[in-house]
Amino acid sequence: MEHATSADPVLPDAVLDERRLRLEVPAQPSEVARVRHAVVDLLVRAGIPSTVVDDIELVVSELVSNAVVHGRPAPVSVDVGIGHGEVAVAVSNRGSPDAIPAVESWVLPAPQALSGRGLAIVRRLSDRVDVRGSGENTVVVVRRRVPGGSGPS
Amino acid sequence: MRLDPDGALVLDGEIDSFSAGLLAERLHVDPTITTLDLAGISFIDSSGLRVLVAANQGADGTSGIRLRSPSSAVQRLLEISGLTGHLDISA
Repeated sequence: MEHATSADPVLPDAVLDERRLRLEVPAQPSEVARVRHAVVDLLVRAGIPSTVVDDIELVVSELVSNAVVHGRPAPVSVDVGIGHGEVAVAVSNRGSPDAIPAVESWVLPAPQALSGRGLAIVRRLSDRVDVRGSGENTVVVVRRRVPGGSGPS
Repeated sequence: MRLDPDGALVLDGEIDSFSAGLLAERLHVDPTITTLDLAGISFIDSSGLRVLVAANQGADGTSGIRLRSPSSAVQRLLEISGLTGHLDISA
């Protein structure tokens, strides 16, 4: 958000809102599409290139699905921010971060494998992945650089 | 989803963890489905991919379902997942 700081009172709050999104949804598989559509809508309106939009769409789908399926039956929250030449996505759910394997192990399984691809896909499409949290809460933060800056400001 | 007389289940829209469950259920209960037509899929994630791989391998109670006409979204996910050339998919 390089142009939209608190030191820039000329910029209306609406601009800030157009580059951020926070959603909280029940931990149900049917909610994953709603989150995905809201995130894509934000990125498209912000002028993010379609290749990046497609990648983030897939990352959000994988992370929210994971949180819904493997997290506790409590709301899942999703934060998206655009700025500093990147898109950042944070997906939070109730449950221990220890339930998520180390990021280094997020690798694709053999072609014949039925499952185990979701997190490897997230890692492949991201420039950086961090798993944070305490014993009760898990946050996965993904960052993806946007070629040519962060879109029109 | 539309089932053609030739046994092809024509899919459209998005396949994620929610809709993949519905698709897997349909494949499990309907043995007349021989082919999945993937041309109309606008989005697919690893949950959907799991159903395609299982159907293609004849796993999960299915019996070797053919895949055809992958949309760009399907082709892209196959590529990201390192599966291009590993599934039996016709044009």
